[in-house]
Amino acid sequence: MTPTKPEDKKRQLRLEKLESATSAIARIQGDLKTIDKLSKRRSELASHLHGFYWEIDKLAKGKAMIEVTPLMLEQANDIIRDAKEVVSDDTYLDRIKEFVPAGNNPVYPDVLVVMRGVKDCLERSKRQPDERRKHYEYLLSEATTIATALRLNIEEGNDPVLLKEVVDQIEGSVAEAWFIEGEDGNYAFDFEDLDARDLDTYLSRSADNDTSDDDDDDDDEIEVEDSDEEEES
Amino acid sequence: MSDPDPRAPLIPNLSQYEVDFVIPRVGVDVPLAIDPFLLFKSRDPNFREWHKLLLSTFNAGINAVRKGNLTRARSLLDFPEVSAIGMGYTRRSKRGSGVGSALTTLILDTLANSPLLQERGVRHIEEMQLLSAGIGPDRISDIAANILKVFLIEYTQRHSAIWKIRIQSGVPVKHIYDPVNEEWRDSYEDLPVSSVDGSPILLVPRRIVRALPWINYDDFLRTEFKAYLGARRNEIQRSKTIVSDSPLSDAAKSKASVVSVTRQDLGLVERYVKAREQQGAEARPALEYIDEDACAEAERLEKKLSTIKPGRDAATEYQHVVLEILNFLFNPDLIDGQPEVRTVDGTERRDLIFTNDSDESFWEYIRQEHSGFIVMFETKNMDELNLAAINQTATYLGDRVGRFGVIVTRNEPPETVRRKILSVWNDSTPRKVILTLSDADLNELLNRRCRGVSPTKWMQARYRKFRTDAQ
Repeated sequence: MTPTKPEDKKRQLRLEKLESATSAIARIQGDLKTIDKLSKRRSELASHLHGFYWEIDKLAKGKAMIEVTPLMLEQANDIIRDAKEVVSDDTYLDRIKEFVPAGNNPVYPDVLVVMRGVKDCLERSKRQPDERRKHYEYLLSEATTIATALRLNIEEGNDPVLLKEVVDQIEGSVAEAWFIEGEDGNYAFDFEDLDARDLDTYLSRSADNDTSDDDDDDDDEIEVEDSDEEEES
Repeated sequence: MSDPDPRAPLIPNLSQYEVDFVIPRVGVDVPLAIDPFLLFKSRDPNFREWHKLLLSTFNAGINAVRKGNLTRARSLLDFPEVSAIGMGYTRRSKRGSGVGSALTTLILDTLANSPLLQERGVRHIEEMQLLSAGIGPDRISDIAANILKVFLIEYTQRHSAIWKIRIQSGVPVKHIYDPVNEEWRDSYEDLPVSSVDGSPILLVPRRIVRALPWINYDDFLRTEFKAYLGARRNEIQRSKTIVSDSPLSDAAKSKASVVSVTRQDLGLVERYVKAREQQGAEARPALEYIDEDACAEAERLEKKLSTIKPGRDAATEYQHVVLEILNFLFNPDLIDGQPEVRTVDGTERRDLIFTNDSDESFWEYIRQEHSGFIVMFETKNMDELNLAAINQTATYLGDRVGRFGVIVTRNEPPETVRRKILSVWNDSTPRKVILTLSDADLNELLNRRCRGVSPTKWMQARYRKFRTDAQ
């Protein structure tokens, strides 16, 4: 049996990394599409709920203990179910459950209160798709940068792979954090860091684990937006 | 020795609340009547069969009149008072004023004076109240009790066994209708008898009795006939006809005048009956006749439950007390509660089975949503409910007994059992619902019943919580 040369072993390792990066690109692109779809659904649901809420509000006046009609009950339950699909990680939405008629439909004020809760939840989550999209877009730029650097290294034999070479190859944004400045002042891809990482895990990290200063800024924005909404209503 | 209180129950040691039937009194009739409409609207196929038999028998008599066979008609339309059921409106004694031949004559006279009725027959025997001056609600009950006697005998025997009521063999019973041979016969039956005079006792389900039949003359007079009179008056005024000699002006005065109109215009009867059928959901069995103290009964049952120790030895006793409690809580919504019902092949034994004939929205929902025409209560006299009990109950639920069951047990089930119950719901298609009732729950329900608050609403809330937890 011929002993494996260190160069071959390194090449094999980088080929595997390239495969991981390539499959991550496809997966992240799929995730971005899903985020866009959810964002569209959230926006449509918010619009639908807006109309439904105000209609129920009007109908509820003077009907304190009157049961809602089966059609209203069905629509209210549809809204709750849809909201749970488009919004994740909202404690208050988690506490809201679909109505169970069991022979008697809920009364108007109960439906109104619950719909208000869902409405507020959708408002809170308005920025959730944007944050998630930003996270996945950055992941995509990292995966693309890594895959490009690996291709230049494996197929073209470039070593080091310089930032400007990668920039020439990529149409979108480049993840500059993967480059380190050399003594000659040029920025070169950090293969040492790449070789040390489990790329599958790294490129699968969720938005929750991806703590950055940007997230904190967004939280502040959401709070301000909520206050505005209250004033409007 | 003094005479017994005539209002005392004829069957001792039973509370009216805890049994499915009306307990007759020692010396007076219970002021109730069998209402055939409650059979007609029932979801219980047996009750609906009873109603079909009532109609087919009565209409066979009408048909005989139409064909001129008066002997056959007189024989079929022979309805002597059935004193064995102990119901009626007479105050002084248990023997009402009804004499069979007099009622027969009334019916035959009515038919003779209404060729239209001979042609059409009846859709409800209660219509006879609107067509004959002499036929009132008690006579309707007599007609029903006579034709249904064969069923009442079977019902009496079944419930006597459940409640350990002493039965006497070979009690002579007269005038039982034989639907196969379409004739009346006398027979000897095993029945309970009155301790006062040795006469047979027939038990009548609480579900089918009302103070007045749903279709009744007074209501007809107030509604359809009043509207008819109003319309006729307007018509006459428009044509400026003198009305002093019109039968209509007398109509409001006496029943005889009213029936002279209805016999000529059966459309009045038909419209009224149709309206009553449409309002049928509001036709509920009577409860007012129960004069026992609900709080005393609740207290007695709570005490009885607390004296039973958990364990296999007292399982039968526990099951019986639970039956009493459930009857107290839910009759006449859940009816004909029977213990120890086995499947045809004898392999499965369900503890308590009730028929869900309720008009309450929750029980109606259970009937529709979970095929819950039958409601099964499993009694588990154990300290801690286990997973095996849940598996067993889940196995019983299905097409035959519906998909809603309740396990009655001594304590709140542990978390593992609660999770198992939720997994039964999640893993079953169609979904199966198992609720549990502990001693504490039963006591809460008894307390609500004492305060006049609906135990059914409590069950509805418990069901909602289960379904919400399962989301």
